[in-house]
Amino acid sequence: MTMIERRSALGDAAALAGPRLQIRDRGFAALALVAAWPGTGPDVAAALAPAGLDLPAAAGTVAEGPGGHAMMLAPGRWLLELAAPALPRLDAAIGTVTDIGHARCSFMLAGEDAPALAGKLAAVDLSLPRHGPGTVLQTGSAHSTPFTLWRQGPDRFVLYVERSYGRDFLDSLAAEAAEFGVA
Amino acid sequence: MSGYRLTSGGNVDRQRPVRFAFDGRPCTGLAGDTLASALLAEGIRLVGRSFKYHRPRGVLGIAAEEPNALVSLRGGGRHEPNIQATMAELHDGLEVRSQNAWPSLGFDALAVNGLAGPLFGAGFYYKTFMGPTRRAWMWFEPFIRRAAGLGPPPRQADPDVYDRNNLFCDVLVVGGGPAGLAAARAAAECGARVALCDERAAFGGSLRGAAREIGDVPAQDWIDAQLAFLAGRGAVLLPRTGVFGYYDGETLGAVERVADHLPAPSSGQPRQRYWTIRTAEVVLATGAVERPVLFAGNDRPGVMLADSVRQYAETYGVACGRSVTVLANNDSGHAAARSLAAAGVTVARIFDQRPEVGPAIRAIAVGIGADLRTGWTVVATHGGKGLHAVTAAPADGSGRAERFETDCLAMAGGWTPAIALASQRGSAPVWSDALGAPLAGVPAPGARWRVAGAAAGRLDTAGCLAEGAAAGHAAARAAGFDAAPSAPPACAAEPVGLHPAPVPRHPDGKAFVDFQNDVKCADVALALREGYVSVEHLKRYTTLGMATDQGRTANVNAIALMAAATGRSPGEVGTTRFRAPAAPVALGALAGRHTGAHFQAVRRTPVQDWHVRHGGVLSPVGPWLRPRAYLREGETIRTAYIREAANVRGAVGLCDVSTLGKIAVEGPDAAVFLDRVYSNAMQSLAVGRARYGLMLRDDGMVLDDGTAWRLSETSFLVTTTTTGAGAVMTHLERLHALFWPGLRVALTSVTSQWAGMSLAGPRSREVLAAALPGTEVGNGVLPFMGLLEARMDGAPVLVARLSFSGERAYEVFCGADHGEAVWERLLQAGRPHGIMPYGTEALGTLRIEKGHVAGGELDGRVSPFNLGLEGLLSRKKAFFGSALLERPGLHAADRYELVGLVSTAGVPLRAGSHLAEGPRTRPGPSQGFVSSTTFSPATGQEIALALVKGGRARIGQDMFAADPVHGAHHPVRLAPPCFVDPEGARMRG
Amino acid sequence: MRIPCPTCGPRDLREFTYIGDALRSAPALEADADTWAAYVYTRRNPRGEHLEYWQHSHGCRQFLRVRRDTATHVIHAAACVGPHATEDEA
Repeated sequence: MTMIERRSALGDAAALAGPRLQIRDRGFAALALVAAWPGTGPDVAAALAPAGLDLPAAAGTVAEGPGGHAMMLAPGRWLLELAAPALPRLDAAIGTVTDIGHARCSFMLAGEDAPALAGKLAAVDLSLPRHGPGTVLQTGSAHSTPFTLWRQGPDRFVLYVERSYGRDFLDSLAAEAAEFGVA
Repeated sequence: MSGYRLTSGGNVDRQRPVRFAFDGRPCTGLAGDTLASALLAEGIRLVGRSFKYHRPRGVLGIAAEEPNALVSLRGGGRHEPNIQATMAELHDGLEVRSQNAWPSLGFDALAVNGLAGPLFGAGFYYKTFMGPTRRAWMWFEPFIRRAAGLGPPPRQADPDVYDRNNLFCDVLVVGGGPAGLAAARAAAECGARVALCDERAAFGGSLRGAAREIGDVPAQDWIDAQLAFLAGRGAVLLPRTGVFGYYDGETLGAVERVADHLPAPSSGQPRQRYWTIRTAEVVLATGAVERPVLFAGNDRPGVMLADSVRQYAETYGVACGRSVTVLANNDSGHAAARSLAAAGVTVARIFDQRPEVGPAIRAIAVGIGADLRTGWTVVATHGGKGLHAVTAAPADGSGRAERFETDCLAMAGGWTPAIALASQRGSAPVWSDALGAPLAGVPAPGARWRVAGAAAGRLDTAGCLAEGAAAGHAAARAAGFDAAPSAPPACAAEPVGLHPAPVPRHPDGKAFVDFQNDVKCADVALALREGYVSVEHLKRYTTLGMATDQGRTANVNAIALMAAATGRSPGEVGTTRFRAPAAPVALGALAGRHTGAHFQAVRRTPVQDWHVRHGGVLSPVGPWLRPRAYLREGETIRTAYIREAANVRGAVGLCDVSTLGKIAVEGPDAAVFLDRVYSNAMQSLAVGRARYGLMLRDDGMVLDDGTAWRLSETSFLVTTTTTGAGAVMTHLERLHALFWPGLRVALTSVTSQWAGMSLAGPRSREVLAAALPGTEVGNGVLPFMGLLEARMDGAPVLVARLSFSGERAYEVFCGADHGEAVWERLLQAGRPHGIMPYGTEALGTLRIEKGHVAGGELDGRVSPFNLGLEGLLSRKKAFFGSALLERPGLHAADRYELVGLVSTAGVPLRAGSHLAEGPRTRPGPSQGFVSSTTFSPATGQEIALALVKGGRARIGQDMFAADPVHGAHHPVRLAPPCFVDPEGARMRG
Repeated sequence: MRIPCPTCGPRDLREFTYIGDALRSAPALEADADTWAAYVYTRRNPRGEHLEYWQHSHGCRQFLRVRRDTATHVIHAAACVGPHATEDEA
């Protein structure tokens, strides 16, 4: 039996480039939201450790393990980007894992102009002391499109936006990036 | 150099001429000129006609305070009216048009208004078009519109792009003159992140090109050194950027004129950029505006502000006249005279309204060879289209008037600190008798600003530098940066005797207070005589201070006039409140890119591209685009939806319902949670089953209806209506957080995770079986309201046997990335069975035929008792909203009840029509309203759903659907709200 | 106006949704109609210090209890409420 075709929200050629800026659609193997109950955070961390996941304990931080990246969005709430297309399971007594692998588009913004572009999208102070590498934040664009922003490096950002907004968000990115010479 | 250009001096480049046109006449300026300085250099003094009286007007000031020299720039879609010539930067090819004159600036036929002046006083419109002549207003209105006004608007779409950006800093300094530069430097030295804005083309303010030294270097060199230092420390420098609004939380709005000084923006470059600045501390170094002096004829071209005349000479190398007369009531007029003479401009005489001046001031006039007369004032000016003489006399009337030939009268009427931003942020201005103007007062609670320099009433450069540095240091310290800055540089003292003379009693003749709105001193007196003694009333009655210059050169003179006339102090008179924007802002700048197709974010379903390729007519449903119908050759929307709906009941159809809200409700307490949230039982829902559910608000009214699918003991999928998804998510989150935080339940929006499609019709089971070969889908395995997990070619699918259409139906959910493929697979499987895709119109037709409520009925004003949904209210448990359901009003016999309507004349009905018992001429009171309408293929009739008072008891009755807005009054008969298969056998079998 | 979310830091007003005043406590589902009517309809609406709920809808989606002055818009404190409540400063 053939695997049914999996089509991205962004169609083909979702990549833009300027002299000091690259924007592209980046796939991911799996994406999930993890919720812990009050007090069960350590239990969740212990349960996910065998899957190679290191769960951060401070909201707004990202931790990396062999199994993928874990980003703490809020108390008791993590976003997991997994290295392999399999989701860990949790006993309901300690928490839940919800698959959102189809519910997000993910963009990479990289290059010297990436911080300036990110600063246009997010009404948040993105200076390095406040949001340096290894941090994550959630906010909304001026268009009221919510998105999650993970700073991987000084000039490197990963954005997650809800899939249904994907094409519209890409159009916005292209328009905002025009001043950086992106065609 | 020709015309009025001085041979040397100014920040202009005499080697780079710039060609432009004024009303078609070719002109030449220099690189570095503003439009105003270039016009003055060419000797062009008549620049516009005033708003009401069409009086000839010329340039009055130097920057944003300019009330007279308003011009229109550029053509086509880039045309912009009402630009101050003093703010417009000169560039090659600039085409300038004057405003408000016909047929030409020189010969303005509408200047006859000036002759009828006494009739056009304050309150003219209110008084003239009342009573029997009220209808006459509409006849006069077009003439008045043409006769009084500013520039014409553009008539084509604006091709330019406008950008938006965010700026975060620790200290924002507004104003880049001496105080602002000193403040920015001090704050940067302390280690704070600094941003510095100035609305003019270059920093330096009144110091630009000034012939003086700051700390042993020429002023311009000092300015450049500060900018280089700031740039080296990473400060954000924003020239051409006007801060227009100062809001709570130290958030400010500013517009940067990115490309207005260029012939056109380059490719990808925005014309303007709207900055939202968020800062910890603010230094307001916004300077002060010079006041005109009040006397008859003070508005002629050639009558200007004295310090502006000085700046034209020192900053732009332009003489505003061959023989200048200065009229002052304070020392700064004399300082201006001295600077003018040093720059090569002839100052013939100085009139000072004060009876006496000190020896240092006397020495100035002597030193420059000017005739000084103290205690004198100007009583009249001469020269229709350009000043050529003034008449002056002793102010106390003790001597004879004399006439003096002069082509430029420089008025030094005192200084008004620019405090608009502080006032916007909530501080009440405080009158200063010494300054004769209001000061900013103290910051409102929570506000974090301080004023420095001329904006704080310091009029000497040394004082501005010291105050600026202190303010910058204080701001940095308040923001948490403790390093000590260097000391500000020293500079020579200037005469700063303030003592503005009291404003004389109302001068006779045409003495103007507000130049742009043509408000005279006599108008202020008239308003007071008519009882408008409050400063707020004075403003609105006379329109003083309401023009695009916001009364910068008018307000304080008006307050002083009012105070003198009513025997109050100016502080008692008070000021009107300043509001954003402080200067005009283009709507395009505020809109940014959110125009046209980008007005709001658009959400697309996973099957979007397929709909577009196959004739789907897309239409907005909230933020989504959904296909209304799939048009075939020769079809209209109506014929298409009738075909699609009929095909669902006759064979099978497929509809994209991916836009439904979907929420994952998971955890050990998920069932308990849903049991409290829904009005019907949920804890008893078995794993592998779905249930229709009703959610109420806290007042018992219906919030949303949807379904809940139990996937496991601890996992549910909740669906909502498309437009209710956000509200339901917030509702559930709120209930969890505020009411039952102890419940272990996680709520996750998964609307975009799942593509959803409704496979509906008598052949739907066969199609499903064909699409899932090897999977049992019969009634035993998948009964009505059952769930099935399966795989379609390896892709996991979740199938729920739910029906919105009333036919046997399956909702097929799959991962969104598989959506288009699963859609195509179902269509392929359905081809032998006559499958057709159907859109939102047919979706609506089917559910209206069945009486299933949706958006038209769920308008937030209905309870379950209005919709006939009492059966969904559990009697065994309390649920959210149950407590207020027993209120008598919700059970009244004449409450709205859901019924069906048949249009007995066969005419389509319109939602929103009212139900009436009587004919068109005497309809009687409204009995209810039509909520949803459609043609019904199943019954061949035009039908509707409606909410009618006591409707259920009136089924069978004849009424009218009244729509007076469209002139309609159609006969209808009330029917049960279900037109097809009331027992529901078709969907359960 | 900027609201200091304990999780996300100070954010613009447009990231938040006003939920209601926090001067009243949530009744039990079984409470009588008068108790619920008072909860749903009665407001003190003071000029000055006010306790109110906001949701950080374009951020962490947590609920905040905020102590805000309705006359000056000065926000004195904000704390998270719900299952993972922060220390009660508000």
